[in-house]
Amino acid sequence: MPKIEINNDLCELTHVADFIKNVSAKKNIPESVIFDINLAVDEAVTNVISYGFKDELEHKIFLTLHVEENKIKITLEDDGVEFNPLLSNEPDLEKNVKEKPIGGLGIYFIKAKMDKVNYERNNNINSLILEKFY
Amino acid sequence: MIIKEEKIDSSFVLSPVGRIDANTAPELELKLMAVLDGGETDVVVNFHMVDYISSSGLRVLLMGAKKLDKAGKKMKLSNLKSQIMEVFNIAGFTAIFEIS
Repeated sequence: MPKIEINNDLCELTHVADFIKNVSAKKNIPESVIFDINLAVDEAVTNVISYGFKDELEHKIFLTLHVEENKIKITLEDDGVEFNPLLSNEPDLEKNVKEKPIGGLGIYFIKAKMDKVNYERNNNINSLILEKFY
Repeated sequence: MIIKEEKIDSSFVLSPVGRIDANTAPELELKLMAVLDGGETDVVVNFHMVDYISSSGLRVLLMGAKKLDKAGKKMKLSNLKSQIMEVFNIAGFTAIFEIS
């Protein structure tokens, strides 16, 4: 199963994008599906790197991409603070420019673009499992 | 990230190149805020060379839109690829910009 290990550094986001692109290209996955997976994974990894670690140490984040027939399953694992994105509030998209809050769209993008999102916490590890049908 | 800057007639055009993600968005933020703080009110962000944007990029554009809104202006966005336009759509961001 294709797997990548990255550090908690935002400059790793391009490596994540390249990994998704390379794996998907071999499987003839449509461009729009690759874009959506990239967006969801990018937002999830960004949250972990930005808010997941309370120390200044280096941490590893593990990403696996499992391509099945008509389905892609992505698993993201990190040893950051417990965080269940499924419990976050939905943003109010109707607000005008003055009222719109800065930020808060990342988790909404994950939910909007993926068909299934699951979260588990086991042995101090966060596992986020994303599934996209195509 | 490379961000080209051009003054075309009365417009100030910023053309970022590549991905606008959490890693590169701070660079766009610095440049956009400098342009707005410099008093420009006719600002265009040209997406011709942008192939990806995440919520981190939208956050920067919203900050710019809020500043321009105080001057009664809308920020202009041009040449958005369909997948990027889709990100603006799902975020409910299309009405706050002038998109061409």
